[in-house]
Amino acid sequence: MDTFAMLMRGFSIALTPMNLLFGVIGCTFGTFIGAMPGIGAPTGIAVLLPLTFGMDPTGGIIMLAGIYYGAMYGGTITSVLVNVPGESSSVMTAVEGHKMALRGRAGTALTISAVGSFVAGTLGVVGLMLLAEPVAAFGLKFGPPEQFALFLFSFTCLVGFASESRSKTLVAIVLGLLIATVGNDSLSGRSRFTFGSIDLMGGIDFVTVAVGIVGIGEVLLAFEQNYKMEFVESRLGLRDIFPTAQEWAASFWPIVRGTVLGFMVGMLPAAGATVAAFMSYGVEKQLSRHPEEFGNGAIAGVAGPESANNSATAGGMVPLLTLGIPSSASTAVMLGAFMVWGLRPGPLLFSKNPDFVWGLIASMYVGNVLLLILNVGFIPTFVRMLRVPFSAMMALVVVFCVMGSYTLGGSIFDIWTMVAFGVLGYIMKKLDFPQAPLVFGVVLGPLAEVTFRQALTMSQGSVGILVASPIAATLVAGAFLVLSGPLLWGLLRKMRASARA
Amino acid sequence: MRRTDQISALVLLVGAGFVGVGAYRLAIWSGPGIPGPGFLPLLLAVGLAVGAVGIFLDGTLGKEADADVKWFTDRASIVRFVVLACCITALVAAIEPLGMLLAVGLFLLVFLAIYLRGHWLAILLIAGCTPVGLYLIFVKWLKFSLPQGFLGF
Repeated sequence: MDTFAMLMRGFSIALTPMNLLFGVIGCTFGTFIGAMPGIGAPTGIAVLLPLTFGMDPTGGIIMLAGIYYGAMYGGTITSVLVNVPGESSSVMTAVEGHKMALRGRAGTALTISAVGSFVAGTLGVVGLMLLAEPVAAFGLKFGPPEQFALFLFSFTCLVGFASESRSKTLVAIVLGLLIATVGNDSLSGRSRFTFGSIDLMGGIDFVTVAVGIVGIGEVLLAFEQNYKMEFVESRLGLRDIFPTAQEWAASFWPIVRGTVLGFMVGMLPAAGATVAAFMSYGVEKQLSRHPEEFGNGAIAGVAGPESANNSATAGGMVPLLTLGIPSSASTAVMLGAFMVWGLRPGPLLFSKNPDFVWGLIASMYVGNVLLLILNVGFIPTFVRMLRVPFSAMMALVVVFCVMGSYTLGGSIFDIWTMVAFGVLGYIMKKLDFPQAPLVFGVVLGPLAEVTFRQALTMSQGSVGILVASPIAATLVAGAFLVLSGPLLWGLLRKMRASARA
Repeated sequence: MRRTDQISALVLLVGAGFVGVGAYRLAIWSGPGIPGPGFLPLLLAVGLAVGAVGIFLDGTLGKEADADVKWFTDRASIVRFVVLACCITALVAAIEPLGMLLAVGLFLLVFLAIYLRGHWLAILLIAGCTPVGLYLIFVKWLKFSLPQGFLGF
């Protein structure tokens, strides 16, 4: 069947009443989670993940994806109205959008942001649809050495593109991989790091780790820091939210540029929506005829980054669905969910589970329409919802974390483990260790180890197999470049400077 | 100098040593050219040690070396953290004797009574309705069995 026919089949799945309901729940919850400071999309996905265990995987992924891109829309609300970014990817929106709100243009900032997000989200799904199958077909050429080289490339991207300390990112990945080694070794059957505990023999499930690290850890931090939300008084009626023709014109190209940039950045492991939004802001400031407006409420500084962070979510789905490589903490948690449902993301997902993949892609089109309606017409409702006391919201997130970690294996031990990881997540945040690489390590660890050991067994212990095929060699060279690039660039600049002198 | 980074680097170095010894005991190779169960852990121990040294150097020589971690901003933030941590611990400890739903209800009642003081109707509604909602979602809809306490639910 061709792509169009598969998409139509996807719509017939996504538009069933139950899947539509899951989409609405995901988008609404995602918008709300995205708007709440301190709680991001990974937390929202991790907290609601256990609800999907008893569901059909297609309905489950539609709901989780709705949370993922819904959070990108929602992050704008508090950025503009409170000057507190709900999501890290909305930081630049807070800079410009809040200034607009102080000038009485909050409605315009929110509308431009919602429309930009809609355009970028929808075009991003078109990109996903067009790229996914060729990339998946290419992925079929991957054997264990190529697969491990891809994991290596992803891990080095995490370190190389880290916004935090590279050393801390490396440690976070290693800790994640170490957690994944706990339990009986899948190849030899020997127990590793179980300390004689029967509960640990089956390993530590990624859900327990993810819910602890990004759920309880974030709640402990957010509650300790006691975010206070003071909304700018704004008129948000339908008459007040429409931008002028001049504002539309000023937003058009930033939306286009943000969409393209965000999609490309979103596909890179480790880059994700936040990097895309920051890069888009930088590009718009560079290209603007009035750079002095940036920092004082430039509408291009809202339109570009908001478009970029939304198309990045669709871009992030390309490596996730086709190669099984997450590009952010949210997609890492979703990757883990695939495994819980018994699905293996990668090239075969398209041929073995077409209903799942195309149902998800079609639901993303539907979800973007839903989110446009929610984020243009129902902003006052979300503002009212956000006035619910912070302590009550945090208590409910804790309850869902506890329920989630219990329902996975039906064991109280899992809840204690989850709480322990929550404390670890809190300490990591305090010490500026990134959490996402740890989640990456836990999710990708088992597969990375198996492919590594298979590759070495094939070559009788020689690591030369990792550069023996053109694909593996390119990925290993890419990994080397990502790690050494900044160092080489610095040396080159020094040499140029000394040559000029 | 960033003391917290130096301390965490030393803790991680000890951890790397522990993992390295554990990996060695597990057997690095299980046959000629065949990696054993200790192979990856050994590499990870090396990675952990490299990262720890990097953190130590960053904390000692890096640009942010003078900005030490401030754990709590004020006394109120300590109290909030301690109360939430204690309530979570009590919730998990209470699940086995009381059952999941009753433990959750009590957790919400106590926690919200502290932080939503005076809003008794809201507290009772949240603490009462949440376990009912969880029962409907997890037990009735998703068919999970939740731990039951001495009261039988």
